[in-house]
Amino acid sequence: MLPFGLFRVSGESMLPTYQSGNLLLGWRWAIRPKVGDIVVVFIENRSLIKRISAIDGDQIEVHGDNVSFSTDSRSFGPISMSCIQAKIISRLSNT
Amino acid sequence: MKLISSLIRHLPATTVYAHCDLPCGVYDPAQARIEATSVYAVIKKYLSNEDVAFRTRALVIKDERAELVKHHLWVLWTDYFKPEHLEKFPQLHDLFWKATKAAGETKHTTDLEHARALLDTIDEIGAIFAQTKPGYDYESVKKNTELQIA
Repeated sequence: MLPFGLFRVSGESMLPTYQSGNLLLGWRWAIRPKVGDIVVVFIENRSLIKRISAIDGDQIEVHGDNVSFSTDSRSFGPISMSCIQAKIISRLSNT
Repeated sequence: MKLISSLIRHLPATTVYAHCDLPCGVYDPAQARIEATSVYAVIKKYLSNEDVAFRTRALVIKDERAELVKHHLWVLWTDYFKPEHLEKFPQLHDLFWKATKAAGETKHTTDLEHARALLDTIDEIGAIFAQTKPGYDYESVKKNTELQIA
């Protein structure tokens, strides 16, 4: 697995930070997550992009920046740190 | 720069979802139980009536209700039950598979036994659902719907 990955956003739950269609660069190796990081998490058989809002041991809570239109830890609860696939480090393009 | 931007745009990327499912959090196996009860009731009416027009309507309604049963089961299966439930009740996948297949069977036939088998499988799912939701009483759902096909 390469240390970097490209991720395309689909949906509006990370507005205004990222909008649907944005191409993002993520770092996959030896991630040290901290509150505020935007991460790609793999849960319920799909990859979601969310912001870490809390860390408690091995558990993290994630939320969308667009809180009114986000399915996140408010509905699926805290998730394991091992669900993190990548940490977003940059936006490469808007489309 | 334009060339680089264009190249970047065409690189393969993993889709990451930023969607909202707007989950209302309200789930109830009663929905599937009620529709399956309708399937049972309409088959009974079909079998006791010789009128062709009535029987045709009964078949249409039976198939519609059976499809609704499938829908409500799938919602429970995919949206309500979580991995921790499956760990505790490993038979869940098999039960949902059996129940949706049974719902399909009721579309193929007018056999009351198939409709009863569907109800029984939904009851097994309902009993498990009740164990995951403290205070929920599936037995009342079962009793109230059975009353209507007695």
